[in-house]
Amino acid sequence: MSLILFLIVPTAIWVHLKLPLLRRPFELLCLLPLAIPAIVIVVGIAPLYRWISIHLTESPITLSGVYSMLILPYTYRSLSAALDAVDIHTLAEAARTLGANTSRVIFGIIMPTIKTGIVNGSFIAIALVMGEFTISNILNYKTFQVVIAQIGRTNGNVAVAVSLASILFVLVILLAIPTKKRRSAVLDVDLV
Amino acid sequence: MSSSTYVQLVDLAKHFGKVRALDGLSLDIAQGELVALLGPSGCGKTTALRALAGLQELDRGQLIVDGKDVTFQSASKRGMGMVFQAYSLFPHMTARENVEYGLKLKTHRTAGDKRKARSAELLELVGLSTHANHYPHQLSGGQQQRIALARALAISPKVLLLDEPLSALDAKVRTQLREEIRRIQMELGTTTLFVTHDQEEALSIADRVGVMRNGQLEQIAAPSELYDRPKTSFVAEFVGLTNPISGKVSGGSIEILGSVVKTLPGSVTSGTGIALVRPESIDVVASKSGNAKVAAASFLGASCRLNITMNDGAKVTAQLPSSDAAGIGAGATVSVSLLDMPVFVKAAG
Repeated sequence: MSLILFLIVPTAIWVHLKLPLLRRPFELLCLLPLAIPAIVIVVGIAPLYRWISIHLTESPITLSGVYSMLILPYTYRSLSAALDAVDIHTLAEAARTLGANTSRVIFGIIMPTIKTGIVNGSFIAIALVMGEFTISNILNYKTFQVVIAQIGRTNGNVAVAVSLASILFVLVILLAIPTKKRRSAVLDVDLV
Repeated sequence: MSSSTYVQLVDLAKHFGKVRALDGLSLDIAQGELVALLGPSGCGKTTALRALAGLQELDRGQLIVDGKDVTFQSASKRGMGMVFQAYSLFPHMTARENVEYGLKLKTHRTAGDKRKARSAELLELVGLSTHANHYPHQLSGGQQQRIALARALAISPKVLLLDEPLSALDAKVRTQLREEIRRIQMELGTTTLFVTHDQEEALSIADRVGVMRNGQLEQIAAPSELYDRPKTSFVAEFVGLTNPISGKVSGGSIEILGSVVKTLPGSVTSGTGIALVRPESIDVVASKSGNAKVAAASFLGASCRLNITMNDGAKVTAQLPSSDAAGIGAGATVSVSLLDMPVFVKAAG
């Protein structure tokens, strides 16, 4: 998830700021994983993972690659909505005239401004990965969900308990998503 | 280049596709001067301002500030303070943090104590020291633009650039804030370029007003000169109201409404021309044997505007002090004549 945030946040900002013409193709590309069923992704990616598990490592951490692809549409949508909600062009230009370079504009001004969008995207990604079964099972990795399924075959009660615990965990995360409500503003009566 | 010239825009050109936003614009600004660029939308005024800020690349031309060529310098190193039309305060920072932002950056790095003192001083200057810890969403539009002004001034900019900063505000706040901008600009002596499409705004606060059209400067002059002595028909018609009245031109004068008045340089010199007469240049006196009838009268407070139909059918608008217009209402018969003010005459047809 950090991988996808690390890649997608600066890229999405860059595309919004500097390459407006590429916005549509970029959006299409990011939403593509939604249109492809998980099973098709697995079939396509299985040879690569076979090679990885033979030559590199069998650690489930390598699944982060394919998971990144999976969560891309959700992360991108929430980022894009946050970027559209503020006039990032003017903010970026204001920062530049005050002496900020490109990295300061991105990391110091725009990222804090779209913080809510980044956090929302991350939480949705966690919830999504927590529920993912198809890919890890077919690729033969022992993730949390695969293990629950295996336990379920021998001991139903434990599997139900663990599943409930995981549902509660995800629920807490989803409830923690910051709402749009801002600190209550002390409205000033004077107009100027 | 005169000795006091501080900013020079030399032969600037910029195309956007087939549109010529700037077409050979040249402009000199003296140190401490407030120059307003005025013009209809699409005339290139904002492009010129953005080019000076370093936010717009040019096809051709040169920008000189304080004797240095800054044409290819990046915006972050030019040291220009800019206030935008859209609200541009950083939403995650308080008013004070916004003002201090520029001072924290490498280009203008200032020590903590000095930074605090400077931000306090500027917030005081814009009259918002009590709002230092408010976030932008807790401020009204006018307050946000004042903080934006304080933020731009905090870095002691070489030139202050104002890109229609008042156009999103309501009329009353706009008037107050433009006077405040002028007060602060005079107090600090900051060289300022102000872009607006509102002529009242430009004429009321600028030392000189430049009227732009199709990427070129039509005329640049002091507000009163621009109003009284326009050099082109575009300037005459764009700045203030005019009555187009046709008449015969000869020997530097035109005969209209029964009077002969001098024509301004640049006018048509012979034949039939259309004089562009200001409403205040028309004198109206109630008279039963008059040559016109008042169609409508609008009371504007200190002055009164009269829509008049001449006996020959021509329609003119006159504006006179309310005290002089007392007793002249709709339907009154009046005598219309011209005050002895030179007029601009454009070619007929």
